[in-house]
Amino acid sequence: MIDLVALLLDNTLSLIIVTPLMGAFVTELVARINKKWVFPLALISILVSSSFAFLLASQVYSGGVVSRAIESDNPAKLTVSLPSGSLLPIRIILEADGMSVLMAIIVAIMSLVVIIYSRKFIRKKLTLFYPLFLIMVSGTYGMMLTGDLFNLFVFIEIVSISGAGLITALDRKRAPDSAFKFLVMSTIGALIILTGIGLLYGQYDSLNIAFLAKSIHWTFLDKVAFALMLAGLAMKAGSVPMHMWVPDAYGDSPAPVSAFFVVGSQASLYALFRICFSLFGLSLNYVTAGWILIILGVLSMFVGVTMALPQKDIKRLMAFHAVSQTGYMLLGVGVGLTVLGTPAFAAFGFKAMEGGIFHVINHALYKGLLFLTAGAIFYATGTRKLNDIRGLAHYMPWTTVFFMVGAFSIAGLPPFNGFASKILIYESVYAFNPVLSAIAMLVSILTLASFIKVFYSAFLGPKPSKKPKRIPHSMLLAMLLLTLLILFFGLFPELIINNLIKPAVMALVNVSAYVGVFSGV
Amino acid sequence: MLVYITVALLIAFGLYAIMFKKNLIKIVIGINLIEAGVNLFLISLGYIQGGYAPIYTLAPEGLWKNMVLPTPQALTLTSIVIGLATTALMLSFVIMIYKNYKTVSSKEVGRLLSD
Amino acid sequence: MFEGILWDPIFFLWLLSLIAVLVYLFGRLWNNSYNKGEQVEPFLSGNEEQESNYPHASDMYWGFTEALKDYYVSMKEMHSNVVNDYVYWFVVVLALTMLVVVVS
Repeated sequence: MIDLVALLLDNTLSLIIVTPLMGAFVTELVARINKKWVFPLALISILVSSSFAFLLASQVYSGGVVSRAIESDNPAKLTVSLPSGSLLPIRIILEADGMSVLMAIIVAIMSLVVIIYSRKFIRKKLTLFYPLFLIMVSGTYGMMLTGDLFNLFVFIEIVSISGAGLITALDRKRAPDSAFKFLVMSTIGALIILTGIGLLYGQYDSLNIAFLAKSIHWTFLDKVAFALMLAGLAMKAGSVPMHMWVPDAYGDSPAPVSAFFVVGSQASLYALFRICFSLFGLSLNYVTAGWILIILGVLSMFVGVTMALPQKDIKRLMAFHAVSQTGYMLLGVGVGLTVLGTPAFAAFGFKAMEGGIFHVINHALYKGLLFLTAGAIFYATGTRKLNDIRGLAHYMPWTTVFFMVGAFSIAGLPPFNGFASKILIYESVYAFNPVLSAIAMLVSILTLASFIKVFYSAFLGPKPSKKPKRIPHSMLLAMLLLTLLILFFGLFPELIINNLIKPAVMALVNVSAYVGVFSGV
Repeated sequence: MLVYITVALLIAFGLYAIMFKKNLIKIVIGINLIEAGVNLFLISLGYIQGGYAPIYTLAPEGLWKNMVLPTPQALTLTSIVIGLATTALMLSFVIMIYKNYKTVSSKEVGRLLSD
Repeated sequence: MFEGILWDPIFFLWLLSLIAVLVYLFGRLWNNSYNKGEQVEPFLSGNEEQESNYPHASDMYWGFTEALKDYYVSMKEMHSNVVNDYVYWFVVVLALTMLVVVVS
């Protein structure tokens, strides 16, 4: 018994990825026998993988970087020594530090919430939803925990393929086109990233991020590889002007899927940060890379929010806001990257990165909540067109409250969590460049304006003559969970920053901890 | 060198097809072209002139040094499998789009969607 | 960052609840003997409020979008729903990134 516990504790990293993957195939088999068992099985596998993710988080926060080689229990067998005397890593390695653990916590929370929400939202007959969703969860975990570049590519493709399938889960009219666009863009992005990985492999004979980080010399080919990977991952994260697939994919997919797509995009954002800080962290020209991120971020913020204002489809509007909020993260982390290694980093760069990374988890929570409320509106009225819905507050008081919490949070009003991360970004970016900070504030105001539009037209107004459908309790429970988390994050930002965000930023900035997996052997 | 020129040409042709061809099926073919280019690039990374397949028992005795690198071959195989999955999925989406709109022109679909 | 009493969200909560209590006490000072029917309804326009004359969502911020018409027309062109244009923008950004990274 104790051996089993020790074995589980030893293998948390791989179990996080394996549990939902196994769950996917088991649910697909079970669906052919009895459709009643599908949801409980999917819920159990999500619960197990989420608890493993929290377990891993506790391991990392107490003991530092956790790494694990697939198919080997002996850490000394990670490398072979070449005749020339140098060591070469040979195994596929999973690696988790503060940053990956933070992202894994986001996936753990959001996958749990989304699966609870889907119980009633997804039609009973549609059993294919759960295996696809579990595969997507597994791929997202994989992107965050892998320490191997080719594995990263494989997991990106797993997320894209299962995501494209999920987009068409309910809607067969508009959704196939959106799914096609999403898949075309993802595939091209992933192939471009793979070309970059190939360039690195050709030079250094390894795919291991930690090993590559030590050996990269910043040659011409390295620069090309960096540019390829940066552009590919920025596109996957949905930054302007490569964001046009985002409103299509988020807008036409079922609401719980859109809520999880936010996390999927953030996984690409995580990979982008990992490439910038860990893989090329020792050799990169910080100012160039930082300014590329800042420019992409500012463009995303501004174009995203201005395009959101005139939208008439509630989920397309929220999807444009997702683009705009991604801009904040890129801006915060970009400012941190630009001043990395200079005295200014201690003055405001660290804070900017804290703000950017804190915004990642906040964004997942409130944008998830907003997409779920949009799904509740769709469930109740059967339409997503803002022109056709009004006065829903008469019938759906709880959804109204949840929507208000989400809207205030995304607009950055205190005491909700969006405020906590946005104030960090405003303050630190102001010290870097006041104009950027002013743009960020303007974007926040426009965000509030466009959510007032949604609130006014969907929830206020005369009582609708057609009574909307009742929202099931499981959907309300999912939204309530996110609301409570948002309030908790907003009321105790200091607690979250000290315990979750600081380790994540330290993990990104302090390259030697991530790279050091190979120093011992 | 010839390999790398072929790779660059394949990727360039693929991107050209995706950017300027309006037929959705041609776009899928363009993606497959890029895929072929990337796969060729990967496999060429570990290729040795006159090499043998990296299977210990198949290579002639004493010529083990002439085995090609196994890792790029594994990568390429994985990439081909993934490419198969994406192509199949994309083509099935094209079928669904054709059923809905009775057209496979991306421009026509875009026009129908925006109004 | 969140030091000092002014940045303490808990303080905000206490303040809000204090204000709520004060408002409630203040409201109790007056008597409640008014006519509770029509008198408490908000006066909007004199017309009876109907579903049909409630403004549509697309009517909102008309002035804003009209003032920035040039910007919105060009943006609409960019968001053309055509997959070729999406890839076109990706290739443009890819080329620019490569240029900037390689030259610097």
